[in-house]
Amino acid sequence: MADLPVEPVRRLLEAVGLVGPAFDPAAVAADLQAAMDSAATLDDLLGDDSVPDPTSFDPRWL
Amino acid sequence: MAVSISQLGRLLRAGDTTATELTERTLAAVEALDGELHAFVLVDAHGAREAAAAADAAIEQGSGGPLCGIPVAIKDIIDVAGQPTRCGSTAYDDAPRRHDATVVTRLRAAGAVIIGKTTSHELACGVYSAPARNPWDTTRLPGGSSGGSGAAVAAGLVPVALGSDTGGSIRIPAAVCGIAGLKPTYGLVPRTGVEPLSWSLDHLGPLGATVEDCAVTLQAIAGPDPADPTTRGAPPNDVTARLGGGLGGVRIGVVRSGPFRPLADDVAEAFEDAAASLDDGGADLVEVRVPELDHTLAAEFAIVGPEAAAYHRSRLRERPEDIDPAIRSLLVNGTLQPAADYLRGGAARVAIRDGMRRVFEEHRLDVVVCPTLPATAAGHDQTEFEFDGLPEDVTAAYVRTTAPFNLSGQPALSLPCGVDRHGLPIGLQVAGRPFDEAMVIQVGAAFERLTPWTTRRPRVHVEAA
Repeated sequence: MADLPVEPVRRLLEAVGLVGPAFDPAAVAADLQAAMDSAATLDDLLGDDSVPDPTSFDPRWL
Repeated sequence: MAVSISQLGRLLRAGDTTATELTERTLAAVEALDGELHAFVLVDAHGAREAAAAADAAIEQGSGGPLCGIPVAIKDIIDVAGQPTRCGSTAYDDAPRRHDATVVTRLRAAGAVIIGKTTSHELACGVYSAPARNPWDTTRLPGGSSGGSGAAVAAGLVPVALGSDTGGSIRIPAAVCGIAGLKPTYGLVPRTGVEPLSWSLDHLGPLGATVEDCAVTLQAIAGPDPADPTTRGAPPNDVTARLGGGLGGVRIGVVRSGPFRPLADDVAEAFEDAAASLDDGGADLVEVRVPELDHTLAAEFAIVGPEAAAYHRSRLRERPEDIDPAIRSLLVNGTLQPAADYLRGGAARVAIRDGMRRVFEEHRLDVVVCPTLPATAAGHDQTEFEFDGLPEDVTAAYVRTTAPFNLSGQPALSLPCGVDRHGLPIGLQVAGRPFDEAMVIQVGAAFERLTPWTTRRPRVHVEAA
């Protein structure tokens, strides 16, 4: 995917109260893009039409 | 080999030693060795001596639980009344917790003597557990996040310690420290009074000198707790029932693909030797593949990030400089990532569970086996391994082989199965059907009897009396 633009990430950080030198918007944008890219790889497992109900996990499965 | 719980129990009941004597020996050993290992963050000598005196009185009266007089250690994310829980983090305060966690209450009821609290990787979210060190080679990490528990048991300071496991944090230290570690089925052991990392993936369990030590301890801490609704469905479960059972007729799926490749050469060789030992012991082995496991890391982190961010929201806002940058990044991502990513992580977990169920049913399996980790203990400041000429982040490498069973919720045991060219321990992982810890323990204990690996001792260890 294209890199996340930094300015909206900066605004998002402010909106959720994450401000200060510990939260560099450019670094956060890069890390967040990587996390979203990782999650997007789950499309290969889940597809679009038959996504399992994520609330249905029950450890008693056998 | 460290002295096991059953050996200590026999000595105690025969009057050959006392809980007070054991406790004093343990406190002295911690004093002598922990300057090098940093396995403990807190030692409660006074509380331990009181508990030991009570255990001695119980033994004299012919009563006392299965852990009566046994020294144990507790990972410092688990509450012990009167002591702080600091979670390996400077973002926590030192205020003493008011109540024991349910697992601590149960250990005390079984007669255990709590020696102190062990080092955790910061926020139970990592594999280094600094400043703790690996007793086999103190330039190397003890694994994590339950690294202090792993180091304490491996060095023989205590026969058993409690840990937690969200993506491998019991089994990783067990493997790199050359001991046993058992992540039980999700929902078997209550987490009341424990700092969470990720509610839907967190498990509590024992790290022990032997599989039997893990089994006896798990038996003491398992079972429903009204305060932890995830334990509501846990069936009655005697996890020690088949400790003496053999391998004859046991059906074992061998997983060599997906996240279990690539491996370090020494690990691959030790794993094949372990499979051969299981075969020689009479088990029926069948190669299996679970393609869904290819998505292990993506599913694991899609869930952990948002859940950890939800729990540590105030800490992240108010004390961000007190949080390690890599963990901070996970928490920030978890805060900002689309909610749909989190839910698709949960959906992937269900798909992984279904893949596991399919394989167990198709092949009528009792357990699957795989390497616990693709490599042995990394250096304490090492960030990457190299497999087949390609770099891989140390944390990602360790977690890719352990997290499948956090996602599926199955019981998973690590026990020693060899050493690498440096003499560092290698772990074998045995995972069973949900709530069938007894079978996992049967296979693990039988493997221990067939092989010499549990008898080896690290460089830094307590000399047996």
